[in-house]
Amino acid sequence: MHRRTFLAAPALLAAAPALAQTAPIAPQAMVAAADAIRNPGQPFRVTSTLTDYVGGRPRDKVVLVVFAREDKKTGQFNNLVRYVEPPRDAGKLVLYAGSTLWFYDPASKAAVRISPQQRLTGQASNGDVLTINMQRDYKAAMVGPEAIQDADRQSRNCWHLDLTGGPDAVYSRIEMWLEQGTHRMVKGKFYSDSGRLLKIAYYRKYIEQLGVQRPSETILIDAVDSALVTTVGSSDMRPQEIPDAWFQRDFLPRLKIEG
Amino acid sequence: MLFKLAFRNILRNRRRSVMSIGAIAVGAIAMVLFGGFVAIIILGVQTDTVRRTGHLAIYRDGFFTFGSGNPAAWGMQGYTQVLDMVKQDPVLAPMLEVATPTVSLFGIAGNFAIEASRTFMGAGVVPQDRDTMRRWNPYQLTYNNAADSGLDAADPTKGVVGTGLARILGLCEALKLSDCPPPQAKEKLDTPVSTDIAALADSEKSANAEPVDTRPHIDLLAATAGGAPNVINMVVTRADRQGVKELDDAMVLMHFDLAQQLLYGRGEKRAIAIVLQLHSTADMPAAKARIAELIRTRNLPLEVRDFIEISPFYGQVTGMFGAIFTFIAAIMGVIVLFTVVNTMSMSVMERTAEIGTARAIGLRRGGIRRQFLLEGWILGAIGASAGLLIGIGIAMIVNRSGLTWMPPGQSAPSPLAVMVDGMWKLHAGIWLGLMVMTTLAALLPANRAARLPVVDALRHV
Repeated sequence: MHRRTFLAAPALLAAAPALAQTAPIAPQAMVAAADAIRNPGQPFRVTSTLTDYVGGRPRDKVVLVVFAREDKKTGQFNNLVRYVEPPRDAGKLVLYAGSTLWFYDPASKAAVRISPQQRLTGQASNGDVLTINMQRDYKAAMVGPEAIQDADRQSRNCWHLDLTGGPDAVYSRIEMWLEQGTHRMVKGKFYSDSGRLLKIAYYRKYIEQLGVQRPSETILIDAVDSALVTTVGSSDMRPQEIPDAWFQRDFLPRLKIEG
Repeated sequence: MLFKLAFRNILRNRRRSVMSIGAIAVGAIAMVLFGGFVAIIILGVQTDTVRRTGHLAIYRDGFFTFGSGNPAAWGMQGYTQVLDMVKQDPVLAPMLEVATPTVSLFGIAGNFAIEASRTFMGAGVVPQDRDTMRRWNPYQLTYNNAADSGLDAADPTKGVVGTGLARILGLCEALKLSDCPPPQAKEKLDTPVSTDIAALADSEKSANAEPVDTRPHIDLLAATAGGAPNVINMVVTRADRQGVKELDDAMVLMHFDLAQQLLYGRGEKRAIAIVLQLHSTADMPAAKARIAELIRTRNLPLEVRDFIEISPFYGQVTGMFGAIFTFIAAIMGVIVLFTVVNTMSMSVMERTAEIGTARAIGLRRGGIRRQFLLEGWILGAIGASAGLLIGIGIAMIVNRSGLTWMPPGQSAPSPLAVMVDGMWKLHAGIWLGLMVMTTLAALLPANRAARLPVVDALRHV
């Protein structure tokens, strides 16, 4: 199904012979495969629907269009986010390039930098989970096979991986469960530098998007404020050519996006 | 002879003289009391400021001007070497009381069990050093002998918050705070529960539940120097009143190690400042110059600031009370001036015939002038001396009376006190000042008396 990632497998397999008996491919290659499922290799646009739940009751709903393109040099995804709903926020833009976040309001025509201190909670903190690049920033180790329940209470046979963050990584540690065979992400747990659990993510509703089965809904549970849950649904994913200028802050006021 | 005459003249109109002496004495009393009170306030504010911020702080160059918005980025690399450099310097070492690293940071403090959170301003300090700093008391002020910092050197997870923050985060009951209402009930959402989401969140909640900590505790979220979100749990041992509401609602005092862990995560641990407390404030300029010299000769990317720069409040208090004291002294001076001018003018008028006689039997103008000037001096000397003695007496009574008041920027009432010991400079100044005023006041009538034509004066009825 995703031949491209499997091609790299034999080389990594040789590097990790100890794990070869249990896992078909090396943990790092598994993570790369999981990254490839989540993020298409080509520039694309996708409509995201974010719903906030407090104590299980839906509170806010936000619809965004995300334009994403991988920066070939750094391997990082650059994201340009445009608000569609609610109407009062429609047209506002968020630029997430590198590790800096810019917010642009067409009403005031001003771009404001959102510092890391200002995205500790709320929707912005979820962006860190959604845009994570596990293959590049983290070193994966195999914990072992494990059967866990997915978001729909179905038991799935997974590989349990433990990822350690490098110097540029947002999280110091991630626990990741990938379905055996397909390498689909089923569940992830994201830890802070102090070792505290920050976020739990469930990936579900795999449907075909851009030729690959990709999760169309991510459920993010805030582990610090445990009453808070956000679901991120993605739909209408399609390839889109994105010019470099779109990821320049200075270009934000002149950006005209149709559709 | 001249003195005896002057003294007898003063006694001639006793009631008037007593009134003038009284006015001068009241001026002296007011200045002694207010001057002593201001001195105590300024020393109190200084003691308080030095206990909190130390005398001097060493930062990375530019932090003081630009860094407070993003403390993590202004961390001091190799702060332990700087600390050693200061502690082992032969010039600085004898002046030093404490040299200690600190971390300042901000983020979000939350008690998510009741869905309450607020941005906080935090300081990470070394508990033992902090306790030593809080005992600084070279002026032997009897009041605000601070308790310990509330931190525990052995247990970095313990910390102290402002009472306002404790109230916002719903810790009133747990910390047994008085005058602290429980948080208001949150608005409930009436949208239907999404069962699968709720079930999933609940199962994760129970699976990841940490062992229940019965001690009051809060979660602190902050972004590390690398921009990653970080969260730690802090046990709140106490809530301290901070005096200023903004601070009271946001202050978190924590162990240095905990603050470093929160701000630097898995990266290199740094300090934001090295705080120095000296034995005596008088050494401050010398110590500051020495540190500046060390920074310059070793070419370090550091800067040094004193507490007057760090805490503008100290300068404001000193300036304000200085202005009030000057104003009161000026008013007292003018009152004394008018009283003495009045008394002496009356005296000259009454004694015009007498002046004529004295002049007729050969006393020169200078003699008349000296006579009246001396009378003014005697009035001033008696008034000022009596005023000083009475003022010091009242000050001693006030100091023993157990009255209290709330000094500016303080969180607890302090005993009302008036400084007497070591104030001889102020007292001498008041005495001399009043003498100058009475001399000036006597000069005018004395001159007029001296210039009276002898014949007119003799004929005066």
